[in-house]
Amino acid sequence: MPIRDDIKRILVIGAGPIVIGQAGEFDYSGSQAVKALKKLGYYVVVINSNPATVMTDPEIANKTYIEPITNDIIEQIIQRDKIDAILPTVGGQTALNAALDLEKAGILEKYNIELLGVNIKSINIAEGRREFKQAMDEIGLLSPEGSIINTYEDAIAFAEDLDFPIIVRPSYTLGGTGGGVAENMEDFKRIAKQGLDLSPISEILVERSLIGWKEYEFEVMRDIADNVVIVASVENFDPMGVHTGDSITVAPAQTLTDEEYQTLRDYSIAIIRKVGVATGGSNIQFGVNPANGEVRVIEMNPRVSRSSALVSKATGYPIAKIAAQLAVGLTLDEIENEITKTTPVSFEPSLDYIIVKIPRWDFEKFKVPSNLTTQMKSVGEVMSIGSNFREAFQKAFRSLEIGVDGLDYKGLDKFDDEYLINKLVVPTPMRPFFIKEAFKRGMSIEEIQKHTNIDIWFLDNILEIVEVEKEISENSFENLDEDTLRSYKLHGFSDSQIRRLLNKDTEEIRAKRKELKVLPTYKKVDTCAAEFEAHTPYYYSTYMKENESFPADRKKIIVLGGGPFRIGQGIEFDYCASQASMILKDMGIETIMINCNPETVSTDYDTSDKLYFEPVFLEDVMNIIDLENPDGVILQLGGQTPLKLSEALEEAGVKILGTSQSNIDRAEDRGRFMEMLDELQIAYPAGGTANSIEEATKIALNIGFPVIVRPSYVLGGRGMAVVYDEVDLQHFIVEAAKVNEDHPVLIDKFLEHAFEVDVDALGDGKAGVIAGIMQHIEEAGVHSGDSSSVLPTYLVEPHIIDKIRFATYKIIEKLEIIGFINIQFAVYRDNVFVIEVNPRASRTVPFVSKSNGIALTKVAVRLMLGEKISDINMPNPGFMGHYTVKCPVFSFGKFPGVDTVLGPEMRSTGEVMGISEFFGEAYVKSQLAAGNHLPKTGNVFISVNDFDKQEVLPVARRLIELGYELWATLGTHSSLQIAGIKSNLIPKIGAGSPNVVEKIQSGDINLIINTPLGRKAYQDDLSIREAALQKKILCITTIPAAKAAVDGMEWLQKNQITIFGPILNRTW
Amino acid sequence: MKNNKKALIMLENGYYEFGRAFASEGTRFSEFVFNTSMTGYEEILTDPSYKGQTVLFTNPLIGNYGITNEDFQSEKIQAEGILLREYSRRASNHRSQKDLATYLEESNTFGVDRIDTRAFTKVIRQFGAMKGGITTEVLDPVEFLKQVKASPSISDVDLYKQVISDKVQVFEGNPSVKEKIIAIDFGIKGNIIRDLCGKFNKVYLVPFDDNFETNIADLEYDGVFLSNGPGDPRIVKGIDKFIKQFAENNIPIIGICFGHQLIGQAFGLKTIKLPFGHHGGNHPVKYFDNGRVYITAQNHNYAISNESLDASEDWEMTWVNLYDQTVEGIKHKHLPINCIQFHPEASPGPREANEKVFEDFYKTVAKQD
Repeated sequence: MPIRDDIKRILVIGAGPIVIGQAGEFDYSGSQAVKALKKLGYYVVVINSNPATVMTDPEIANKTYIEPITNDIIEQIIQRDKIDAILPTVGGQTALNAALDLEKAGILEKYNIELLGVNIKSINIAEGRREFKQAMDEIGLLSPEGSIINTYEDAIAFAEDLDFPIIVRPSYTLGGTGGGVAENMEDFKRIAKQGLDLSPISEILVERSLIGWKEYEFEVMRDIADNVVIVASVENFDPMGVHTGDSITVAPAQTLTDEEYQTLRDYSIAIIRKVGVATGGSNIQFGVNPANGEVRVIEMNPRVSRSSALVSKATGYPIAKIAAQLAVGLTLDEIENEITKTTPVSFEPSLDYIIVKIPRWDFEKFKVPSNLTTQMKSVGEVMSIGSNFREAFQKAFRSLEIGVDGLDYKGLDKFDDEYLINKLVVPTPMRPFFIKEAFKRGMSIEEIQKHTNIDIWFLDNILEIVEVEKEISENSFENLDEDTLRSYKLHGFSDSQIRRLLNKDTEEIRAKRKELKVLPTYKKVDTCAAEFEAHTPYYYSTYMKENESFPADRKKIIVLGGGPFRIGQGIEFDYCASQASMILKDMGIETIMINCNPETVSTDYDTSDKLYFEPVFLEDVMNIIDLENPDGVILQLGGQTPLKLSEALEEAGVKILGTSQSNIDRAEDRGRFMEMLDELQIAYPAGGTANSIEEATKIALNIGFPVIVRPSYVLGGRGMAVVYDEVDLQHFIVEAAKVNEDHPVLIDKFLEHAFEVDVDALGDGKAGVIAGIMQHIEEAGVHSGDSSSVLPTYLVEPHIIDKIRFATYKIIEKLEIIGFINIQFAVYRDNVFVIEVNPRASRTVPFVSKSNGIALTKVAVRLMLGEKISDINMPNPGFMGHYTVKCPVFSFGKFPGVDTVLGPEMRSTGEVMGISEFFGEAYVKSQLAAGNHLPKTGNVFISVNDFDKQEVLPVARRLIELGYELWATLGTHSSLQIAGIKSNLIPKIGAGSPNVVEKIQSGDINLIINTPLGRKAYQDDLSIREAALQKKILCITTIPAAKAAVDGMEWLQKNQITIFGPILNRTW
Repeated sequence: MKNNKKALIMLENGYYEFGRAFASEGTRFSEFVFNTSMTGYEEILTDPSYKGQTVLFTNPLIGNYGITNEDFQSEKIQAEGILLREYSRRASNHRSQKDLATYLEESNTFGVDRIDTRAFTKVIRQFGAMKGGITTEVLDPVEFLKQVKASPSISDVDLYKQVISDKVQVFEGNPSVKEKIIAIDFGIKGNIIRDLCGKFNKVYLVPFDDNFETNIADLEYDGVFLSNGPGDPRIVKGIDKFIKQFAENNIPIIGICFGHQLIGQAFGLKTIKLPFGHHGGNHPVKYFDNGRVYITAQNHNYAISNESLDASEDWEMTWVNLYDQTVEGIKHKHLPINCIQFHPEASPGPREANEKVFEDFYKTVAKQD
């Protein structure tokens, strides 16, 4: 069917901030969909609140709004841009929920807007647990035994008749939020209550647990003519009981016979038809009883999902792009497969390799147990491609960047068997390593299967790894021949693993490999298992006979991606790397991308001229460099991951574009860095490096408490803390930093109540240009990634800004920065201190680019290629007549019991941007977009520590003026009273009823200002913040943030939020 | 693992690879084809259409779910051997009765892995299905190539004669209908019999041999079905006469794959050898009747040519392959004849076209429209 001409202007809703369960994959799907629709001739408008996205690049759509995704804002866009239709299926749950809200509010009807790719009825069937279960009954498919429940009492009554464990799944929540597995009645009561609270319609599904069953996913596409294809099947390594987002998965399914596979395929088709997904992709999950093959339908997502991004990368079949084309009336047989260029996409990809996905977690940041449950907690993932499971599995571990070079984790032999078995039974990120350890101890495959419920096919592959490892260690370096070494590589062993087993250097193994010609062969990912000729250069490595990747004979540059998303290294770097690739391509230079994160735009085969889906790990990167012999490698755009390789690459004689390794080292080596600052006469907080507790204490006493302590070379403030006394210091060093000579800790003077300023700048080796100076709202001590920041600065005096500018230019010149640099300053009593320098693109590059309307990465790439700032003639990045506020977004809801107070350790998973001519409005928008509810009226609870008792007074006074009623516990109440500010006294926990927590839980409190009270009052504090998190009440934990919030609330009381004009790129 | 010998695989164009024979040993010559199905090695191995062929699986991991007798398409392994990237040493499935290597060994069929199956597939893709050999005995490529070149070509052999039974078998079908059919056996797959039984009252499976005429003489039937089978349809002798007779007597004729090509040939449509052949479970075909696309299982090197169909006044195309626009189904404009190229019975492969095709077959025989 031809594309529809009755609609002309389409609004695509993005997924908003990155949170656990909804990450960069929706930037990939969103930008694909936008590009596809634009190519078909539609006028495409984008709304997304997340600036760190390729999708919101002004060049992608016809018009781009970085605004909160709310009914009100969308309605304004509909009016202004005369929208005819909305595509809500490529922006995750956020976009789908936004569509539902628009429908409920009658906005779709009012403006006669059509939803593309989905209809409200099918969303309701797929997302409503009750409706879905009934729909499955009607087509004769079984769901797990269970019941839909809307009240706590019913839940208890129902559970009494079921055997434990019991699963609770709330309706309409993301990534299983609020759900869980209850082992007993006590668990169940807690989880059921939490699920009912978190479900927007107070509905949970309570069902018999299928824990231990095999889990499969099918990705299905349907077009308007009712043609259906299965894009891929996915099999979970972890059986049911672990959220699929937290499971290791493989594609295609490995242990299904054709009979079983076809049955699930038939079911999938029947389900997508029954649910009535009009066009586009869906993901369907099945549980299969390993004992008898009994099948239960678990759930369905009627939209492009995390799995569809994975499957797109796993197969080369671009689901989101095709979904967008189907949404406007094309049918599958009318769309060309871009990889073969001769066949349509109405087919099912055939894979001649296996992919393994392993999630990446950051549990240590949240200080919660690392148990994996039905609630997703991973923050990122890697995918790897190989000839067999072992090769792909080990490669995936190297991709994870968790300090391992394969399925190999040091020191597990020290645990006793009992501990080991517990680690097999209870799923954690460490389980694969413990399985290996169990095999090494001689445990049988049957026994391990009994403990883990993992299919013996997977377990046997791990056993084979153990066997080969033994074989290697019994071999000798001298004996290695071509066949044996190749077979080791084919089992996925890295050179550094082999090195350890043979007691050699990695370099010796590498040299031996080259000598014996045991080199990786790169194979194409082509959707068709070589049945047709493929034109898309998308490669993975394996050790076979034929290499299919031929280096081109023209100028080429390798861009290294950032690897898996994790806290501190997120989608921002994917934005930068993707941008660089696109820019280089435009300049006629061949671009080669290396990355292993399937949730990204950089691993779209469209982004670069060549894509190697490979670990960003020295060996793998060097193999590609050896083959391609590039003119240069760009490391500074992928965050810390590629930068870590810079020293080794330079040693290997690779030309690194940008700042030289010795200068990178000068910025990162604390001693050399301080020397340089001294020479430049730039101040920095006093401090030192300690290799022991004694040294640490000495330094701290010398510079005076409070001090900030962190392990050297950290990412995202890992293991960082502010300590106020000697006891705290020793406690921290012993518990968290594990100091020793190999792992020194850095101790710096903590500048209390200093505020922080973040500078993104560019250099050409000598001269610099400042792209943006951002002021943090939270004071120094809160990690910059967790602070809200404002561009331009709004409270910094001009002479301070001048000092910052001078210091920045001096540092750029001294470090001979080529490309990006990011410098963090603390402003303390009119003085400027340098806190940190990162000689690379920072997290804020996309935010600054979009705020200024300058594609900074484009400038950086040109500088790295040797142009001078004076040649580039970019527009002056100054005040643009608007404020932009970046607000971090947290996924605390996934971690029950986590403390939400902000500190030096970064824990935010994403960010949003608010933009307006008015600071107040920009702030309000950023809060709205982050899901922080600023109340217009009502009750504000204040509880602050002694340091803040004075600081909070002006905030309290303004709140009273604005008509809010204040509530406080005894300490804060007294200090307010002394200052003449009226507040109501509210009992602490255990001091009367209703106490503060009860009051929060009853919904009587609309905003909380709670600065941490110190260790003694910790439990009270924690309960307050926990209750706030549960009731989704904004809990502000710093005074500066409270001040900004009050500005915002005042603005909100007096004004209507209006959309700011579209985001534009200034051209030059 | 029964075996672990070094094996040499040689194609007649001189392309060779060394691998590991994990099942059987010796020397064997056959035609080499690839199959891109990601599941269904048991069904493929036992499909009589693979007689005389060594099948290369593009799916890299084979053997994962073992062997389950109920999934067989005939009583035994028909393929000459299989080539893999990796044989999975451990089978995991609740239905599995034995592992693949054991099963291959039992019928002395070659299993060779550690092959660069992708490189191999591209060779076959470029040159078409080719003659070749596997050996664990003659490990010298130059010497073995000579032997391969000297080996007989399967396109000269009436392969179907090796896979059909020597007597008529009767299958009771759907008691709620009355139509009975003859299924002419050229190497029929088990699932085709099952599907025919689902639509027809009775199925007489009659081998196409010297006794064919005698065998059908006393049977009462409402239609004739021509089955799938191995080899080149162009060398089958003596079938045209019967097809024409059936047609003249207005007996409905239906057919699948090999049978479909025989029907076309009998009416003067030309059969051509495809450049790559169709061997997989992911081929889209379009049914003109409803405009819908069906994903189908396919296994054929030959096809009725589009040109001869276009030139014919009596025939129309009913199904087309969307990969290369080749003919996937034809229907006579005046006579009750209706046949298709692909495999609606699946096994292995998608089943979605099953109901549509067999219903059409039934309607053709029952003369309903």
